[in-house]
Amino acid sequence: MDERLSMLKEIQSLEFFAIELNLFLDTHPGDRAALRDFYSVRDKLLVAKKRYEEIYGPLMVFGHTPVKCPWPWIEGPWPWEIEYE
Amino acid sequence: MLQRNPFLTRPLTPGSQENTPKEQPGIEAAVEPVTPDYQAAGFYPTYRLARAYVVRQKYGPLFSPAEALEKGTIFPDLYSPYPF
Repeated sequence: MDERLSMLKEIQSLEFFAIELNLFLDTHPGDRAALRDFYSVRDKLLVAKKRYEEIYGPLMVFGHTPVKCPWPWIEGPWPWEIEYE
Repeated sequence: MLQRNPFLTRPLTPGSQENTPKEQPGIEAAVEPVTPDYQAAGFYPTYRLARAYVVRQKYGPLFSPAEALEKGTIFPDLYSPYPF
């Protein structure tokens, strides 16, 4: 669970970072340094999500989870069941 | 002698060439133009009363992703927690 938790936290911080750059770029669409950072963070985020879903199951129901039986979407833990400290 | 603000350059009304008040004997009061041309001036002039401003943000150093999530912003320039 420790590895799982640290992967979740990494995904959350990368996603927050990407959203912040998203908002900045909305008003500064030509800022090259911000664009470079956005695409770099986006790539890291996609890799982190894909890796998490392959190991632990879906973050999104239409995500990258490998084909699996039984239906993995209803497996726990749900977000509110995770102890974030 | 009337001191003109060199950064307030837009005419008061369409067609008028000058912001400088007409020379009138005994009248020294400066007439401020209604709409200063900030862009022509090339920088932000002194703030005036009863106007709202949004200063354009510049891209600079960022927090690390983990620190940013903790602080609620990736921009140190925008980080200003309430002092309590």
